[in-house]
Amino acid sequence: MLLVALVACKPRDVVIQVAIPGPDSVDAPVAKLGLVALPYDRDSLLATFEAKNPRPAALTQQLDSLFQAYRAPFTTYAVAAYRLQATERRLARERARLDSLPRGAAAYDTAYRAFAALGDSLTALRAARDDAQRRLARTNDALKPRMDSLRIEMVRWEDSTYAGYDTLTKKLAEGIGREQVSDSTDAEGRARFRLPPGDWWIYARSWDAWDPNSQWYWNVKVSGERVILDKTTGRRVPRY
Amino acid sequence: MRFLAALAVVTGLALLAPAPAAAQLDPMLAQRTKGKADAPITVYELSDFQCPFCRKLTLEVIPELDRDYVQTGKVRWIFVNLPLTQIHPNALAAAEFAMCSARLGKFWPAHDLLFQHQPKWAPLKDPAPFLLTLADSMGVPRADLVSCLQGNETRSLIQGEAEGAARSGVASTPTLYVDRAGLIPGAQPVALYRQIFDSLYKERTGGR
Repeated sequence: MLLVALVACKPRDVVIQVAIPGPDSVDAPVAKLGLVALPYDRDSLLATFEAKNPRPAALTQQLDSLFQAYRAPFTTYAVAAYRLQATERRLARERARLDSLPRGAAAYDTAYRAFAALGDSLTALRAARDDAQRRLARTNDALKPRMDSLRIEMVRWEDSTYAGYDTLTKKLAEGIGREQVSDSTDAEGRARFRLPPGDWWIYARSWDAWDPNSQWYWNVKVSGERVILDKTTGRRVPRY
Repeated sequence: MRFLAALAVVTGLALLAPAPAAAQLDPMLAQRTKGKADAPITVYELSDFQCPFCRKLTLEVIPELDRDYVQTGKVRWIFVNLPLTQIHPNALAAAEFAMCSARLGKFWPAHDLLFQHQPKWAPLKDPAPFLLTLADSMGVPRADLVSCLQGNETRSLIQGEAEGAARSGVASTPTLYVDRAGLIPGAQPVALYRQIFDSLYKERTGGR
């Protein structure tokens, strides 16, 4: 069968599964994420362009340092907001449980004490969330103008460095007789591609729940019938 | 395999019986059949004009098999369409071009030209203008060909063949179906086909 696979044209069905760490650090499927199957390795091409015009280190260092300053207040806020939401969800569950119990039952008293304790903790959690939100807003006001101006410079560098990239990839795809294929993930974070024979790479980007100035990036070569896009096959990259 | 058996019946080639004369073939199949009508071996070539491995088989292997088996009366060769449209967007247009050429008595020249020039038309968004230049080089009147292509006159025939092949379990191209012997998937080295054809020929003719 391997021999046939190497000497015959046959559509190749590939399933892509995407999951990234959510705010609770647990991997969760990513729905409606755009995926592109490319018949070439975009990282290698980008590296060729960057070799002629290296990434401006002074700019990236400044941005990295601003991102670093933003990260702690953002994480504090994200954790506080997540805790509050989780407690509100738990409280709703406890309320439903209470409603299902007879008022005179011993289990009702126990459930009520748990419900009341949760309700009390909400005030402190809301205060922590609001405090974190205010701190984040102050950090944002302090850092954002500088971040924006540095990002504009980065966009200028990208525009000049990668000029010609689209033309090159179009010619490349024409030369090998295969065009890129696009799709997006379903509610379970899954997408299915039917690919012509040849080498393929799956390219995707996704938000990072832990840092708005960072994103998940994948450029994974297809081998086999299943491709996993997760923290082990992708990398966190700054959103310059 | 059932479709191929059915195709054999349609063409008059009962799988367990000697092949009948070419005159009994459906006219559209007769146009894409070559070799002696009573050849002891019949081969169905399930192929896709946009498939690079079909091209390889056609340009590098089939000429040798044609010379040593088809032209010597050992093998009758029949082309069957299996355009893999999910991965080859121009395969159906090329198959229609070939089948319309078949109606004008030019299937094999169209077949050879499509494979020879595959790298030129395969990546095109619209291959039709390029394909019509091939018609000119075959000496086919453009108007007749255009009329056949615009009327989608051969599309259902091609799709029927492709669906039938898929139902028979043929999922890749090229695949050769050798009557009463089975399927040979992929573009294999010529030595493999020689081994199979020689063995079948000996078995079916008693080594004559």
